[in-house]
Amino acid sequence: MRILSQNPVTDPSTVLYRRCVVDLETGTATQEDVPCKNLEDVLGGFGRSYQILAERKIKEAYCPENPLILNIGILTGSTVMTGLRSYFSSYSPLKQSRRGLPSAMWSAGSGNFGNKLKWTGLDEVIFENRSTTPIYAVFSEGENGPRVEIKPADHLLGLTGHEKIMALHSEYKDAHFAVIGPAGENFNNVYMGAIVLSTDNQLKSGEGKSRFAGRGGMGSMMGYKNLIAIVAQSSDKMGKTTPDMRDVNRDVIKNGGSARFQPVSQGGHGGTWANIDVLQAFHAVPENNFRPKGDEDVAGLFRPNVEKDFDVHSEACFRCGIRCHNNLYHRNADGSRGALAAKFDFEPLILFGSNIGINDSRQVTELIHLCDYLGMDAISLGSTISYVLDYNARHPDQPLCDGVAFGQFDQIRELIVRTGRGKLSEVGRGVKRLSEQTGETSYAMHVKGLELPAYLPETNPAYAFAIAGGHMSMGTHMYLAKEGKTGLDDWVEVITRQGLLQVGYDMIGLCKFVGVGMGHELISRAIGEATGLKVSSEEIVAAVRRAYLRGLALELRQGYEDDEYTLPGQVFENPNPNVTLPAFVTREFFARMKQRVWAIFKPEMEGLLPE
Amino acid sequence: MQITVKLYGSLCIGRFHSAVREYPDSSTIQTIVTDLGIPSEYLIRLKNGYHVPLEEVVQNGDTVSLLPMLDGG
Ligand code: SF4
Repeated sequence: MRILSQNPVTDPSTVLYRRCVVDLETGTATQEDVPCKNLEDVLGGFGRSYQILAERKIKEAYCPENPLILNIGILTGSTVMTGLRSYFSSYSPLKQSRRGLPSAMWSAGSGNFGNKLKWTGLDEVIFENRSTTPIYAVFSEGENGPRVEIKPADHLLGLTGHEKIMALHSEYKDAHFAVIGPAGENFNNVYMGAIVLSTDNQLKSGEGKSRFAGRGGMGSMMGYKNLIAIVAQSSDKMGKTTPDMRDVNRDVIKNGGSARFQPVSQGGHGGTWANIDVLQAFHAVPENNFRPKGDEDVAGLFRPNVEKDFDVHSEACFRCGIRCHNNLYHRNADGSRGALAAKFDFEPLILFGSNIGINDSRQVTELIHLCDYLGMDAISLGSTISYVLDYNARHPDQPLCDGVAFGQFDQIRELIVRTGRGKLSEVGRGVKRLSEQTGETSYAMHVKGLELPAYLPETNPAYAFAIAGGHMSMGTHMYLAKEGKTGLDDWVEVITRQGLLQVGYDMIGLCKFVGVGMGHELISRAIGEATGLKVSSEEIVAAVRRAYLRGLALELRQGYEDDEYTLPGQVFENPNPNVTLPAFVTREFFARMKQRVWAIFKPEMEGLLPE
Repeated sequence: MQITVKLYGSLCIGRFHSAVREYPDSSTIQTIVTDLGIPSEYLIRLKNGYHVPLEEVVQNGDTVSLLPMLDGG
């Protein structure tokens, strides 16, 4: 990125980012410095990529004209703690409107890949068209700027995501990797393929400690393009941490928001895993396809119980002091730490645990590990499997997938393997399509075609306004549990003010676990210190808001109709009496909430898309 | 007066899961939080199952639940 002035708001074109366009059909690459059009371009991530997507009218995801955009945020590769994010954007094979048009999507991941890409000198790569043979792309730092090579990838085919990373690591030193697993390779039958990102810890230990850009099938898009892996090779160019930046990082660590995700041993709450204790207090932990039973079965997944079977260790991405990863290790006979079993974050833990009727942590770890290795989005896969199990419980005489039932570990394991290897398209294409085939849609846990994360829809009517995943693009999933608010005014306010700002982290290159809102002075301080740019909190908030609204406008342009902004029918038709949080999401409440939210959003959305 | 206090998640570490504790009349949730040495930021506070502010006054026989305020990911 070249920064020629300090004011990106009045003069965004004085900030230029380095773009590389790779034509996968011809194997050629071109590069240019692109002047920013607005602050969203400057901040980066989906704020920029969605403006590129908006310029294209794409009718189906798997077509050569649909680009796959890889980019970073303004703080990726900087000395700001958690500044590691890379973003992948495209029209999604998984999320599509009833009219059959694909929705724009982005997915974000940590690891060290984003840093390395930035240090090659690139801020953005647009992959155009598709290769006729399996290839991988190598971006590296050359004497005259970033270098691009396209190489055959036949030797990587069929390997798990982790195996691909380790195979490339043996060939490329000083590099990090974004790869697909078998799921992405089988893109025709798996629309939920994830992109697997390498971490320093993984390369050093040889263990599968990847991070994932999972949502929306961006790994399947890579597979469609026959792009099996991306290598970013560069020396480490982390700048010197200035005293002011040290203060910023100290404040990141010390602020109560990030402390929540820090290890218990450090006085934190131990990462997202701890959500289970909080939600169980309200019997709001998803069980048996988002239908809590009102019992204590999930206690098997509480941390103290899991610690009986595993050695739980808090680890981190490159130089991150938040250390939010809870990695579970087997214990050797002598009590010492053995091999890695799995990472335990809230989403996979619940979606491969209580939500499919499994509360034995040893079994859950195995399923999480399998999903990761095959390279699928844990949320989409978990929520689709739970639908299958629910359907089978309701239709024992005509079941799906050989009649697999809640709690049947071996059969579920087999189902995951078959899905990841492209042998079970009913599951691999997601819950919306499957439920439309069966004709039973009310308990299919998706909104607008994207499967729900592990927070009950009856506790979050704002899912309807999430643009790229229920909890990653609308920060209201814990609002009811945290605040207990059920008023119409409260929900309209939280959606249209704080909730939508959740997406800001997917522009600037930091993790959400920094734990402060986009309007916090820490964000503008961090940008100022890392880049010299002067941008106020209000200006950042305004840019994030425009980027979100552009995404919403893009959904409408891709054919979404008003009645698709809804929740699974079961929420309205059959409220669950076991959940002790207030049941407030009636059809009437929902309709009024939507009307008021649209009345605020729609006027602001005008003019955000190209004609 | 006697208040039943329930703690969840990492708040239990070094404290307790559930205990009946003595507090003076007119105590608030803040009194209890301070007494237990729990930071009052990022805390979910329930009185008899309902969300309440820190200034909420408690009465003899109430149950106060304190939960860490987390977030998703
Ligand atoms: S907060 Fe967690 S995911 Fe984010 S950079 Fe730090 S360790 Fe990685």
